[in-house]
Amino acid sequence: MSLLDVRDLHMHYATQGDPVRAVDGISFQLEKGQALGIVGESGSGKTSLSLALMRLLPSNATGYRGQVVLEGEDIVALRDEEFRRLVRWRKMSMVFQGAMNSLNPVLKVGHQVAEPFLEENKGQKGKKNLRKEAKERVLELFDLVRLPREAVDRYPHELSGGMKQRVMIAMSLVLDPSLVILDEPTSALDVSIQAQMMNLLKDLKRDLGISFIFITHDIALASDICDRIAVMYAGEIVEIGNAEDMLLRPQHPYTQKLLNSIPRLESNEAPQFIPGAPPDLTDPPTGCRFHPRCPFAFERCDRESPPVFTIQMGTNEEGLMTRCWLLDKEKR
Amino acid sequence: MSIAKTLAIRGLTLVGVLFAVLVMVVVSLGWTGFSDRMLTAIVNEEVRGLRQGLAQTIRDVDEIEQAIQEQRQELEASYGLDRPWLVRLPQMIWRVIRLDLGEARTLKTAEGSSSITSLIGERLPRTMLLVTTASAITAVFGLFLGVKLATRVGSRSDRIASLFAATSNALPAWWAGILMILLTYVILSTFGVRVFPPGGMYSAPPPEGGLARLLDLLWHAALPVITMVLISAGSWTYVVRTMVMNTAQEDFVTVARAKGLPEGTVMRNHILRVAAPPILTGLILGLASSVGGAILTETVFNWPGMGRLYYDAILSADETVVVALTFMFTLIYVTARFILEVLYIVVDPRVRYS
Amino acid sequence: MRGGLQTALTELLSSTTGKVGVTFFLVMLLISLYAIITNPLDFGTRLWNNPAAWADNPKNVPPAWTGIFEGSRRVNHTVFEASEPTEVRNTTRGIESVYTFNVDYTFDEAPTFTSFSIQNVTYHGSPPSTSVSVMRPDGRSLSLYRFVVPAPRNGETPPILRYQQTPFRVHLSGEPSVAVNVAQFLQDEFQVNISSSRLVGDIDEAVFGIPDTQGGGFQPLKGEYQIVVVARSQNERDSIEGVKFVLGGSQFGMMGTDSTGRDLARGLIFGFPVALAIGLITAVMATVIGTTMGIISGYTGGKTDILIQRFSDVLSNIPLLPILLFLAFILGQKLWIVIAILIVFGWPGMAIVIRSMVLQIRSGQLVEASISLGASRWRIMLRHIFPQMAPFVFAQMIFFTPAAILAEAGLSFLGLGDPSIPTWGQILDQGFRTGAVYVGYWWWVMPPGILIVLTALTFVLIALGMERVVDPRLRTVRQ
Repeated sequence: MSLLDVRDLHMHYATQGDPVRAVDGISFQLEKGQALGIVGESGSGKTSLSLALMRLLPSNATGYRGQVVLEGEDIVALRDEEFRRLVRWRKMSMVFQGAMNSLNPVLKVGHQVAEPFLEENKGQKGKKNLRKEAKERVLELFDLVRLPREAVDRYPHELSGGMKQRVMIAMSLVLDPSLVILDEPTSALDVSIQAQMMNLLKDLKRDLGISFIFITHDIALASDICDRIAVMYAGEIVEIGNAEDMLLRPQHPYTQKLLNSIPRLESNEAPQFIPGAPPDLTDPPTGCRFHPRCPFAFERCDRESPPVFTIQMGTNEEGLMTRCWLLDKEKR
Repeated sequence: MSIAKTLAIRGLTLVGVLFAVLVMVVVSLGWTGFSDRMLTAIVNEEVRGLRQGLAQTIRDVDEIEQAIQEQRQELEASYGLDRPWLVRLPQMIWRVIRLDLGEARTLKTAEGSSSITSLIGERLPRTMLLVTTASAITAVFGLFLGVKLATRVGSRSDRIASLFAATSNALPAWWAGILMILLTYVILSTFGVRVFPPGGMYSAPPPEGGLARLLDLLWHAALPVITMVLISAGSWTYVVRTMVMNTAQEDFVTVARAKGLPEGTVMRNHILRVAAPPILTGLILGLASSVGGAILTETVFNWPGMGRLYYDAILSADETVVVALTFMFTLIYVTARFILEVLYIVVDPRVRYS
Repeated sequence: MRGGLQTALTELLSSTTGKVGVTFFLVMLLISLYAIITNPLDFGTRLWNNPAAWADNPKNVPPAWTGIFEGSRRVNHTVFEASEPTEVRNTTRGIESVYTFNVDYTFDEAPTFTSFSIQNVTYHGSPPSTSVSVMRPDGRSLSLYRFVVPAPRNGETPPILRYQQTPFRVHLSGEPSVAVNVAQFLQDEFQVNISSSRLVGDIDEAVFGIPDTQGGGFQPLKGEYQIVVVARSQNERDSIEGVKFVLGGSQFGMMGTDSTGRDLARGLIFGFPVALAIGLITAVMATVIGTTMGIISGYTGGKTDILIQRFSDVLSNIPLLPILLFLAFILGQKLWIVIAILIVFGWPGMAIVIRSMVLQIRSGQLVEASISLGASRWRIMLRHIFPQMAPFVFAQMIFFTPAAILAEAGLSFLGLGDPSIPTWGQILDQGFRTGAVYVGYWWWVMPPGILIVLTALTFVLIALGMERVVDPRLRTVRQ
């Protein structure tokens, strides 16, 4: 049984006109101890997906439905209060995009890390003991993420961007969750710090056996840590598979374009940009949502939405799952 | 920047305010010749007393005149009337700073003292009673309602409250007070019931006994307090609501929710705690306007506090009292602001180090 | 800059609050224009604060329209005036000019007072005499009052002019000789004995009524009355140009009167241009100075910046009302002084906000690009920095307006208003000080207060409509 099994998850945003279909029928699985990269341009719905998984629904969210089976339990079916008590941070935590604004400016960072721990264990031990234990736990985590111990008594504005991001990571680990969602955890950081951060995450994955969902716009960065990669486009997953296959033998034209847009040291070719812009999600294109930007599009792409085609690869029994009419055997 | 330095700068600014007001008061007094008239009046008063005293001991008119002339010159010199006002200026400022405020010409305390210091000592607590009661009620009410509204921004109750807040911005307290008095009159004339007295601090004659007196005081304070709360609660609620709403949209609040904290904890530790400093700023401004506004409110309700004293001083053209009270109003304001600045630093760690 | 303000105006007019505010403002502007056109500029000194101008008005009476809600009919205030006689008779005793006024008396009470006056009397030789009598609906006639114009003084030569500037006016209701006449009338016609001294307060009741059978009071007598004024002179060139009889009402005009009989409607209307002028002049000046100082401070930086900021900080931290009172008290009650004080204490707050905006915009790319292109400082300020702030500055200006109006009103209410220019605050002050609040003279204290609030509200509403322009975050909340 997979650690996480997402089936046909939807979440839309209400607007004055048609709803924005930010998460529109997403399905994937994640095994224990593995990392899944979710890659896409901005506006592809990847951050909305993470919010939907954490059930952090914005006030204008509508059409939140589907199944999210975490450790055998469908968490979409839980009531809000149960979800809060049972799932959030205990089973699944998250490192948010933009560490700058993710920390409360008037509370000491140590306290912010300890908060879920205090909440989880409140009423069980004496207040004093609980505080002591929480402090120990926080120090342990600070060691783990390589933060100086004295930083626990600092306020966010006294820390650098990299340190704040480490605090966020420490915070996500405080209740030993089985799954951590990382939403662009490095995008706001300097390149050198970015590398340190990636090393830290790899160590954590290896040492703690935590599963990650790694959300990024950078497919190369995702391949650094992820076992599998999913590519999102216009609220849908267009291709998912083993990281190596995705990098070396992508089948979906969009994945290919994404890879071509990465500047490469060893190549003389200039990076190619994807022409056009991501579609308006209030009124996505008919058929395959990528077809207006796709160089290989043919008449069927406009008409029908492509199903998932599974392509077997030599390296892996799983293969690639791709939504593209080009892979239809009886095409044209 | 250290806390001490931040505080020192704020403190210096406020001392600057105090000093600026003093200089302005004194210069405008001197420049317009008010100061000369004031001092001459004091000298004349003393000379008159002297003349009466001398008339009982000395018979010779010329001798009296001569003695008085000498005394007058001495007095004028001691008050600095023989020098231009510009030269007297530092001395005057120094006197006021030492709170040597002088004597009122006609106004007296209940005990009959006309020393301005004891006048203020008698009136200030009454003003504070009114202002602090009203502010406390407003603050609690606004916090409660503002937080409630922030969770339902855009709803009908939110829009009504916003409109109410806007309206109360345009509604001066003294006018609201007049309306209240009219209302009590209408109730009195139609139902024959006096809900609240239209003014004053005690009934005449005041009831005997501590508790009865206290209740009588509260009964008289009710209308002014209700008025002050009514006109400030709207905008105060709006300030709280907007601050809470803005803070609630911050990322760290989403993080706090994601952490599985209960809604109450999110509200207390992550929204209110962060919104507190700007809300405190609102409180500073509210307090500032209600201390100054006491002049109008107390006048309307005939409440014998500092504000009413100021009004009476203006009516009776008692310059000494006007100067002293102008200074006192500024002093109270500046002190209140400084206390709140310190509080601000306590609640907002960002100020401490930025 | 035009672009920014235009968007601001479009946005303003698209919000309900903005629309209401702008409509109110336009109405006020129209009323102000009307007030300026119909009133002399020295309205305050010549009319408003001149008790003689209001002598013929009833005191402390409610507006005329309130009579609709009353069970009994109240007396409408009516002024009868004539410059030409209705009839001229040549009699043996001289030339009699007769002025007749018809009074359709349908009221359930006696008039509050009656008065008679003559103006511009010219005579040659012996002075003319005038008499006032009443023809009642019950056929009885009553001679009220007789008056002989004063004889020529020594050395005065014809034509003799009398009552050129101020008319001769007699308050019939309180005139002892009238009381004597009425007492005689009551005895002759109704056999009722009331001494004239006791009658003085009840003259009008007697003239316009019938004595109660039980004695003591009077019942109003309804019907057609005729007030007949006869002026008798010996020379045909003699003339009286103004004869006036006033039936004092217990209701008056649109807004009633105050304790000196002033027509409150006129004072209230004159208050419109004054309030708008106070608000707008103060707001515009404070904004212009504040914006200029703010831009200079933020853009120049260095010592200038520190100086302006410290100065603004001190000024904006001074509690306004006590200082305003003090200065108005010391410097004199002149409206322009009040406006000047409001400007002096108003601009620093603006300068502080503008400065922080300038700092923000200055670090923006557009400005950096212009600097690198070698544009001059002033050009950058005018071309790049100011246009970006224009809508905000405009909104601040509007937000400042009600504050100025309310400050002046408060000052006037405390009796420190400019006596030569009546304002709503002053009307309120007089109402409050004469105790109108405690006896329920609502028409005196309610309307000026309502107008103050409405005017302030107008600008608050406009400012509220502008808020979206200034704070884009609010635009998303609208859904």
